[in-house]
Amino acid sequence: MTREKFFDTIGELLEMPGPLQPNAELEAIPTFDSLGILNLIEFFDSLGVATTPEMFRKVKTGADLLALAGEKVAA
Amino acid sequence: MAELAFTDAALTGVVTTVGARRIAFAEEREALGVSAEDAERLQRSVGLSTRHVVSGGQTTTDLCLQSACELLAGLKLAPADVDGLILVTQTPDYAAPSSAISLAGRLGLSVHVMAFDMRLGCSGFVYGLAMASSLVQSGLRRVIVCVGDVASRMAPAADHTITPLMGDAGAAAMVERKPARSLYQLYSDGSGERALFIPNSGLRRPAEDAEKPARMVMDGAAVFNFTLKRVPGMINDILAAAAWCSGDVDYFVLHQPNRYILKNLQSRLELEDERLPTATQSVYGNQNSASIPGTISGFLSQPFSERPLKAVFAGFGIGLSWAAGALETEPMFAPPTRLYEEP
Repeated sequence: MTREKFFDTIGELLEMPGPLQPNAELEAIPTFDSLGILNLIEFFDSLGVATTPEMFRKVKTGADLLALAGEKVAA
Repeated sequence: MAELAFTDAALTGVVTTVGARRIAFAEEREALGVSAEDAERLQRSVGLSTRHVVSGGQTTTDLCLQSACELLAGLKLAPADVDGLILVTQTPDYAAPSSAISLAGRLGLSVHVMAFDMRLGCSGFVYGLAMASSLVQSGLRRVIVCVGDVASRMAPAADHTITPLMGDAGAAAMVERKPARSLYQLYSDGSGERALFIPNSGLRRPAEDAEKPARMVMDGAAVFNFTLKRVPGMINDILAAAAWCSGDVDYFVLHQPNRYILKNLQSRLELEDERLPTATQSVYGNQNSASIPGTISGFLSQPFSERPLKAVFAGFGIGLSWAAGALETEPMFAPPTRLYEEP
C-alpha cells in the first residue's frame, strides 16, 4: 500500500473530511476513540500487522501510525 | 481442539423468550453521557438501536422457564418424556446451588432427571448442545438445553461501551435421540480471563479489583482482536471437519455481539447477508449465550421450521471460550421470539 492510500484510508476510518496528515495529533481527533481504534485494528489486521489497543493508545501522530504499519506501507 | 461427533442426537426445537421491556438507544443515550453526534455514529457503525431487558427481579430462569414450557407444549411432550436439563448461564439465581435443579422442578420434571448448570457465556449454546448430544447419544432420550442471561442486571448502570449493548433472553432447545449428524469443536483460552469479566463476583478478590463494583468490565478492543483472530479459522475448521464447503451451508448462525463485529466476520468469510444474520443485537440486544437460539427465533423461524437445513453455529467470547457446531436439522419447532409474560 502507498503512503497516500494509507493516510486516505485512515482519514475515512476516522470519518475525517480528508486524509489524515502525518503531523496530525491523534489525541485531538474526536473519532480516535474506542470505536475508531477498533476500525484501525481491523485495518492493520488487513495489512497483515497484528496490533493491540495498547499500541494505539501509545501513538501520538499520524506518522506514528505509519511507523506502526512498518514495511507494509511503501516508503 | 476438543472435537465431538454424533449420529443419533437431533436438535428438534428452539424457543426464545426475551425481556418484555424495550429500550431504544435514542432514549437512553443522554443518561449514558453520549452526545447526539456520537449516538448517531454508534447507531450507524455498531448497529445500536433497541434492546429487550427484564424488569425488577426477573431472572434467567424465569425467562428459560417460559421458553421450556412452550418448547414442551410445541413438541407435544410431557415432563416425564425428558431425562435431563442443562442450564447454561452466568447469571444464575444463586451462586449455589445449580439453578438448573430448581428450574427442572418448576418445569415439573421428576426427580429422576439429571440437572446441572454450565457456567459459560457467548460460547455456551454450542457447548450446551455438545454436552446434551453426548448425553443423548449415551442413552438419555431427551435433554433440554436452557441458555440465557439477564446481562442488563450485571452491566454497569451507565457505561456506554457495555450498557446499551446488553439484552436479556432465555432460550430452551430440545436434543433428542433421533438419527441426525452433528459435529462440534470446542476451545478455551484462560489467558483472556480479564478481557471480559465481572470483578468481585466470586471468592477471588485481588487488590487491583478492590474498588471495582461487581459489574461487567470489558476491554472491547481486546475482545474484538480475539474474535478476528479465532472465529474465521474456527469456522473454516468446522467446515473442513464436516467435509462441507461454505456453499453447502444454508445458515451460519453466529453469536451476535453487535453488527460491527459480525459485518467484519461476514466480510472475512465472504458470506452473503442472507446466510449470516447480523441484526439480533440491534433489535434485542446482545443475548450472550442465548444469541444463537435468539437469532433462530428472531430471524430464521420460518426456514428452521419448514425445511431440512445444514447449519453452522458459532459462539465466542467471555472466558475466553469459543465453539462451533455443524448440524443437519429436520424441520423443527421454532416459533418466533416471545416476550416474557408476568405469571
